Amino acid sequence: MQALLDVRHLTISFHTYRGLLEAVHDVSLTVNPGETVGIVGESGCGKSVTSQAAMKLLPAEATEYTGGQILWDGRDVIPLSETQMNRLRGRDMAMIFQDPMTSLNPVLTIGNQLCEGIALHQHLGRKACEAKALELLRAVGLTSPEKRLHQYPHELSGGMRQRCLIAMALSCSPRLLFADEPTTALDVTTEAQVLDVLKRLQAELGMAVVLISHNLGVIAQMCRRIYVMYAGAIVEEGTADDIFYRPAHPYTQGLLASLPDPAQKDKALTGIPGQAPDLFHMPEGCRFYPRCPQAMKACMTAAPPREEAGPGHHYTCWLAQAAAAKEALP
Amino acid sequence: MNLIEAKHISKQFVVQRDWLGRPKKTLTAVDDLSLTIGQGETVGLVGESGCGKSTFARTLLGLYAKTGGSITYKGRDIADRAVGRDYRRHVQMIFQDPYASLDPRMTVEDIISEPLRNYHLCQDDSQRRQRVASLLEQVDMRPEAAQRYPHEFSGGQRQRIGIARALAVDPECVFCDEPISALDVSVQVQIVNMMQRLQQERGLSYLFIAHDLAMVHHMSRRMGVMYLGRLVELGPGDAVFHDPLHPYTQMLIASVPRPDPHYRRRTIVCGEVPSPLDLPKGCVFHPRCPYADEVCRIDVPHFRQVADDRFVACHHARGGRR
Repeated sequence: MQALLDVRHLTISFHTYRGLLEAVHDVSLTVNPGETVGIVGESGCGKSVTSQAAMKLLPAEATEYTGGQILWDGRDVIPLSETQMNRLRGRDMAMIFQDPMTSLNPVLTIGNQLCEGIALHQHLGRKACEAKALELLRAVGLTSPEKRLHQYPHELSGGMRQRCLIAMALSCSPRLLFADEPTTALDVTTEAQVLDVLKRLQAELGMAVVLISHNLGVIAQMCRRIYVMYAGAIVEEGTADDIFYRPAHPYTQGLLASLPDPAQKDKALTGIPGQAPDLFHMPEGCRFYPRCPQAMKACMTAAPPREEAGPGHHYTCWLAQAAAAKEALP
Repeated sequence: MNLIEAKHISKQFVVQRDWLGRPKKTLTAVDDLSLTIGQGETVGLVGESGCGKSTFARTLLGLYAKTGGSITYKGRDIADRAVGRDYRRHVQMIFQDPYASLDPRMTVEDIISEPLRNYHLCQDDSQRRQRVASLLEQVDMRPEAAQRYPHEFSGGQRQRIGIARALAVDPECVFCDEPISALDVSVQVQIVNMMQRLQQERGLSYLFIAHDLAMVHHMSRRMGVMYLGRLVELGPGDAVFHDPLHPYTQMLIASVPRPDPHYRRRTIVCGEVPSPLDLPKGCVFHPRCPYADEVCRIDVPHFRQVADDRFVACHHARGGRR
């Protein structure tokens, strides 16, 4: 089976006032048709940049694709022109952004904004567009959809707006949906409902979803395969069970140890000491070693190798080799 | 004796006035809320955005003038001027946004020593500098940080500066309004662990407000749940989290995404929070409540005791499991 999206060794840099800044380093990830893939990491780890790069939404004049390929259906999208990309966007891949307050146009009605995309990609008449928009709003579980069509974004709550954005993203039945922190701005009870809608529609439409979040709970609930990112690089990838039950990378282990366990209230949280490195002053060797509780000499000098912890479960760390070397000693 | 006792606190904001400036439309942000905070205790307060938890903290602190109710500090009403002055010094606050709550034009030393200056707690500059250095040390920062400006620090470090400022006047109670929600997960733990250490060292009380239920449960001995300006449930943290009595608490706890791929939610989560300007009649939760009946649509449920140290505002809740 050919992967829908295959990102290979992607490195992205930005031109800034302080010089070239490498935001994403050697990232490889694949998304197969119909599957839900999670990218988890803390702020500034490059998870949003990776997804925006895949849709080529990054500002062209400031962005440098320093290396690697982004294969969409086997075709590299990096050299594609803006016109060619516009044909892919919306119809083949779509995106939901984090902030439902700012990603809708405040001076157009919901119906207007929904119909725009449908008319553009499907060449339908006004009546047909409206019918389709209504159907979409119903599908995302919005109450009284007829009324919503003629309302403006400010008349809706955050949860309703996020549902509208989902409807908009799905309007042309994309094969891949990027959801960049879709519920971060929402309250928990609304979040649960929006995630339910996403899950149901994904199963109904058979589309692939890339869910980007810093919330490990959201990722655990939604995704089958997970990539963990730290400081611009992928440190671990595997199935949900691998990541949550058998985390191999010290960073993943630290993240999980940062979450309070309701069953053991009085257990102290260990977490991770220190803070994420400044992208301009990336440590030599492993990017995580200054915060790593198991750091060794090797970590400071050379980038760690990619190790296999099981089928489809990979992590980049020196620990495995150190363990092997210890065993080899007489 | 409790350190702070809030009795029937309410806070209304005037949203619209008529042409004579008389209130025409008011919004009740906090409605008849009673809560006590004991010495050295952490009381957690959870609820969704707009439920009035921050307004309650600010009203309790005196940042907003309360519309009704009374507050006592060590058994004395803070309406008394001397008591009020004492209260305001010994109750401090940490704010949610570490970027907005520190003045960008002040050095860290100025920020931390401002409360010391206000209360004349230091004789001279050298003593003040010493105090600032020791406060920075207590929040795990280097004394060199004193000469730098807030923008030079990360979110977690700024929150530490905010905590050092709150601790400068040796408070007995600190109100923490979403102190960790703007921070990354791994940094949240550092702040939470530090807050717990400081609590033990100084015998502090905390009012810990957050929307992260698991973290509030981890931090607090007692936990309150707010919905639309009302306290709907209050009890020991473990009891509220593992055996919630109010249907809203049940829904809220079920909604929390668990870091476990095999966890499946069983409680139905539905509906949205109504506008506080147009509240439902009777129990404010009844339009979303799976157990609502005729009584709930008409009568406002009283906040009542159902078991030892457990309070709930629901017509149908009983002590123990439903």
